[in-house]
Amino acid sequence: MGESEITDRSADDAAVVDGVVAPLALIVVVGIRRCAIPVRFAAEILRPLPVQPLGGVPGYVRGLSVIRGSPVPVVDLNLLIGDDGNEHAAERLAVIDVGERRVALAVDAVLGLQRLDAHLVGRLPPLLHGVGSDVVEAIGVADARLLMVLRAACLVPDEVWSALTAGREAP
Amino acid sequence: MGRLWTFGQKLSAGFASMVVLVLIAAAGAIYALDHVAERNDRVIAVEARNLILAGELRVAAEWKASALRGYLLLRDDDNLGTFRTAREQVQDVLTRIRAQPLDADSARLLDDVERTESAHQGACEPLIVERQATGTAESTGRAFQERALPKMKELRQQIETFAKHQERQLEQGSRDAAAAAARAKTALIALVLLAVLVAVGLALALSRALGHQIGSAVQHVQSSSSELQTAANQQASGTREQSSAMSEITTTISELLATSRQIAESAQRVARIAEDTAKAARAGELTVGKSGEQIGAIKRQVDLIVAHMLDLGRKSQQIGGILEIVNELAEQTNILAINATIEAAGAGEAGRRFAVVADEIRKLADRVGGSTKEIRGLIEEIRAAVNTTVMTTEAGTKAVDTGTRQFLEVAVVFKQIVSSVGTTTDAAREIELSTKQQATAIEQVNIAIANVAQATRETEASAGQTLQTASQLTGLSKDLLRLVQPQADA
Repeated sequence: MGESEITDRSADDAAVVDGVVAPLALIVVVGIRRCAIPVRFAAEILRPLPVQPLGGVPGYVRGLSVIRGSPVPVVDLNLLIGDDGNEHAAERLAVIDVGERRVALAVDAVLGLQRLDAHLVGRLPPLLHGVGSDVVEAIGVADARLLMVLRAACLVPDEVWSALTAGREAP
Repeated sequence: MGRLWTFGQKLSAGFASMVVLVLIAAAGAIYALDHVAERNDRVIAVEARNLILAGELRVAAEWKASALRGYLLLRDDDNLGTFRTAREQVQDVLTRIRAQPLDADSARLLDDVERTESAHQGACEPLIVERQATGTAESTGRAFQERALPKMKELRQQIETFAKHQERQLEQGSRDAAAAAARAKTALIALVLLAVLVAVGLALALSRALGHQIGSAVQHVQSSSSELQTAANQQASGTREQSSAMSEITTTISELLATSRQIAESAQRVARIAEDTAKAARAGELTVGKSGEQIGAIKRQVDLIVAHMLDLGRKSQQIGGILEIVNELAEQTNILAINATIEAAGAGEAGRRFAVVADEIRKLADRVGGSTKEIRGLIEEIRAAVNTTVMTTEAGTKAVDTGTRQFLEVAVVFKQIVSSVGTTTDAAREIELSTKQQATAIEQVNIAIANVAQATRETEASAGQTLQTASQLTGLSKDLLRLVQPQADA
């Protein structure tokens, strides 16, 4: 699905650079790593909001925050893509809409929008298959830094959504 | 008890015993000599004299007979007178013999002689009368031969018998005297031998007793002499060591004297230096006072600097607060710009220009944020510098306070130094005076030590003489012991 998102990009968030279509992505920073999220999934950027912890969810799900009057699960991107062991300020929330579902990614900073150079973004190397490959779609280099292109639809597994839905529907 | 007698008492007793023996021997000798002399006197005074008187009686009788013949031949008065004189001499001799002590035989023989002489005189008287009466020589001669001559022969024979008897008495007396002399000699020899034996016994007993006593005493003397010799040796050794020590002490005292003089000179120099130091300390006290005033001014300036710095710190904090607001606005602007960009991207081509504006706004916000970070860093540096300056200034204030106190203390110390230097000056003078007195005392000690050394040398010489005397005494005691106990020499 991620591959189709990069290759079957819409005309709104893609442009032609040197004859190659370069998708537009929101660039966030988690520690020394930079992650790219296709801009069509990005909803808005917020300051950190109060988080209500939840039970029965994976550790990278911090809990729920009320954003625009609706509860939105907050996912710690650092824990999601692999804890680097460092302290993180998580000073921004990047709100992403995946279909009807909305999720907030806790990141250190948001650099803004940037077009991804298709020559520098490759598929995940075979050695990294199975290691977060359901979250990271591709790995590239931007501004001499490692850039991981995320699969927005897979950031929160379905069972988590099921648990959240069950928890939300529970009296 | 004999052991309690002294040496002199024993000798006196021995000599007294010898004197008693000599007196006994002398008394015996005197007695024997008296006895022998008495015998000899008796022989000489009685028997020899009787023999002599017998001879005189013979001569007188012969003179009387001769005078009678002469008268009968010559009828002269001379012969008659001689006859009468000879008759008187015969009587005189008889009287003297009678006066001598005579034994019974001699008295009887003398009676016979007197009787015969009287008979001879009775025969002579008629012849004298006849001759005087005109008788002739021939008739008278015949009458003489008939009457007087036999009597004369009888008288001559009796006188001869008496003389023989006296001669035998003399010989008997001489033999008795010789026998008495021999007995006296024997008795004297016996007494002398007895005295010699007693003297030898006394000498042996005295020699043994005195030898034992003297030997014991001499052994004690010898032992004491050895001890005295050892003590003299030790004394001599000790005296030599003492003499050596005295020499070392003398040398040390001399060095001490030199050192004392150097100390006196040093104390004098110290006194002079202390006076100079007192002057310098008084000057230093004035300088410290002036420095204290200057330090007070510095302290006031430093306090003013601290106040300004604190004010600067407060101003920096205010700037920091304003900067926080600016930073907050920048961040919010950044977020809004990014959201606008996202919205513009969602608007497609219609929002492209808006997206450009929003991106520029985001860049401006980023620059503002970067600037605010730089300003915050600068402010932090200013605050840190202010804090450091305040702390440093406070430290400087404290240092100034400390310096002020220390200057006050230094001033007090300078006063104390002035006082102490004065005391030091007095002490140095006292040291100088005391050291001079000490030098004088050391000189006296040196003289005393020299006297002691001289006394030690004299003691050493005396110890040597004592040692020599002890050695001589040991030799003498050995000689004396050898004299009194020859067996002890073996």
